[in-house]
Amino acid sequence: MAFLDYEYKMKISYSEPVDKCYFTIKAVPTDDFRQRNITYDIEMIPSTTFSESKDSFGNTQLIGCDNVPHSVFEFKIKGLVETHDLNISCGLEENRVGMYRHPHGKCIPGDCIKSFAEELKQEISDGDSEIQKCKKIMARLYEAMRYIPGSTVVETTAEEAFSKGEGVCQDYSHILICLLRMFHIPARYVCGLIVGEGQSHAWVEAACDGSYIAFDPTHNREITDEYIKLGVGRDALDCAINRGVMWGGGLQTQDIQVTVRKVH
Amino acid sequence: MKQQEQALLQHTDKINNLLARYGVKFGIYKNNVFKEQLFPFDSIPRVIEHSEFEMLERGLKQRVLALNLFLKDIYSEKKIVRDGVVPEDFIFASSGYLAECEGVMPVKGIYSHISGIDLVKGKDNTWYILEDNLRVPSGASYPMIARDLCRKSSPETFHNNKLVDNRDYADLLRHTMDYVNTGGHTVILTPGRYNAAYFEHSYLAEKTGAHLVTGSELFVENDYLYYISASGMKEKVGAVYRRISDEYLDPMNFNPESLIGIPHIYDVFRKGNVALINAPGNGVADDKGIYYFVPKMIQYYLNEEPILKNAPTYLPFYEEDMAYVLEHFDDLVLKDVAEAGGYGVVFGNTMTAKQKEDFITLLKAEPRRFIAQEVIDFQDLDILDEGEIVPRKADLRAFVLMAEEPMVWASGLTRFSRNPDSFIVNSSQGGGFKDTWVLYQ
Repeated sequence: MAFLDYEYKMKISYSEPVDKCYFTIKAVPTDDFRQRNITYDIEMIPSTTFSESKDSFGNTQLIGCDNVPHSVFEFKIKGLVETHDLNISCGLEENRVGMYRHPHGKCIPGDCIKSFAEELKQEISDGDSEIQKCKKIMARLYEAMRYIPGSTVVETTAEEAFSKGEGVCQDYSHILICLLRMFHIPARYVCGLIVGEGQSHAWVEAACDGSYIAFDPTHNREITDEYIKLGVGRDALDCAINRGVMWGGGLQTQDIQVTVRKVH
Repeated sequence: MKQQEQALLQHTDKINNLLARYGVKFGIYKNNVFKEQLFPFDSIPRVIEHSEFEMLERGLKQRVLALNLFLKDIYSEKKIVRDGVVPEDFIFASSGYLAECEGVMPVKGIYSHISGIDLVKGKDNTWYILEDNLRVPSGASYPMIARDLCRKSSPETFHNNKLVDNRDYADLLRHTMDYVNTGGHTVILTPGRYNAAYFEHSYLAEKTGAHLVTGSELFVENDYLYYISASGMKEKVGAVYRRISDEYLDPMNFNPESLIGIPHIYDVFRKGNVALINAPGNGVADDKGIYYFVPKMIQYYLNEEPILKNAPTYLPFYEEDMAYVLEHFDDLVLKDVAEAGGYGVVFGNTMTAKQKEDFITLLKAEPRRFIAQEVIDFQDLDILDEGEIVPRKADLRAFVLMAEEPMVWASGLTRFSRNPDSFIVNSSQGGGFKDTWVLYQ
């Protein structure tokens, strides 16, 4: 068990003023089997009223609209989460697990991923448990990819990243999701934070033996108590931390700072 | 033909001219160019006897009730999947299934407020359901205005024939919208002038007294939906008859690229603060694959025998059906479940050997993607073609509106193919339409 003290800061600067901006923010940690919110505080500049609700994937969403002209938008959440050193994150919702079985959005395999899956078939036996299958697939994916910051963009699909052979945590997760689904293991994308400083992180939950087991393909390991889950979905878009529609704004630059520390 | 109807025929050109003047047009995109074309009207009506309509009415109500219960079940408990009636793949792999709708209950539990059910009458005098349209079925305005113009040009026809007045559609629609209105204005949301059915949007708005709006006139504030009236006032909206598809409805919840949607409108709906007519996510129930299961849904949810038949349909997804399809390939029509509007439909007997071989390879690779149906030999209807009466294939789109209970409009859109060799009647493929008469007694 660990207590994690975290802060997520996002600052968007615009080259021209924004007259109006609708936002949906999914940055509040999930309460599940292996993690629990103790406290959290939210700050926004310009200061705006927003409402808190759940989306259809079970994520907390903050919804609102800034309608005073502004050229900088800042969002900050800080809080304390209790986590357990478990790879099991939660039970399956039997009614909804089916949505994580099929290709969707950024996780649609193309020729490269398909032929890789064919190769993997030789190495995976029917006797393997689902967890073993996940680990084997993750390990082979880890060998096949190179982690290169900035090599892909938010819009990059699993197939595009895999055909380049490089990417970041979002790409590793999208590719693993494609592969697991091809092996009939329902898999979903997780957006979250890990201990350290930098950016947000992404990993994968796979439905194995009646629970969701979390794998981090970027590090080729199962997750630990150093991970904070913020949201899940079929791909990155379903649980994007920030989604917005704005009027005006011109060019925008985004700066994200994440700090997560273990508290003793 | 009855003498009284002769009078109508003489007015065909006049009515078509009036329809053109009123802008009764259909927009289609050909090679990315928007073209408006007239929707040709044929003045010989389709006549449905009273007793026949009663049977259709019972069957259509039953079907729409079951489809609504199915949608409610799919986006919550999915009992029908758990009980093994519908295989899970037919839900989650359907392009009409929207995960974003899980656990969201529309106002009063109604999903399909306006259903357009397409039927044909076989030479055996049996009516068959061809497909259900539960997203934004269009077409009611055409028989509405055509009837109105026919009455004006030939009042004696309507004096002499005992037919049900169909001019109540606007009242039925208004009632349907009011029934789920959460308090506030009722609006009809159109993508705008360049939409195929723009005439219909404006006509229905005028007839129901709803405001015709585009996305830019609506906005969300503090979990409620508003529109800015002509006088600049901010007015609350309680019901939206939206004539834009699910994916473009809300860039914050569906396609982020949509420019015609309203950010957060779906979140207002999620909270029960506005009615969306029809509810998002209905595509999972009018998919051509799910069609096969509708008679089973009627038995499952209502514990009744289906009154109206489906066209005999095979699902290559099931091994025994695949075997049948391969054996009787030339007698069947094959349909891609993801396509609509008459696209993705091929007749087995029109393919060359090579085409057939390629198709069968595809069918075996993606069995869930296709359904196969017996070609129904449906009754021809007479149409007037350059002064001559000739038989042509025709179908009927019946409109079923859902409020406290389902209501079937005593009319409908009869579409016909102008090409004597074609079975495809869709207006996007150049067909025409007729008035549909339902007789008293």
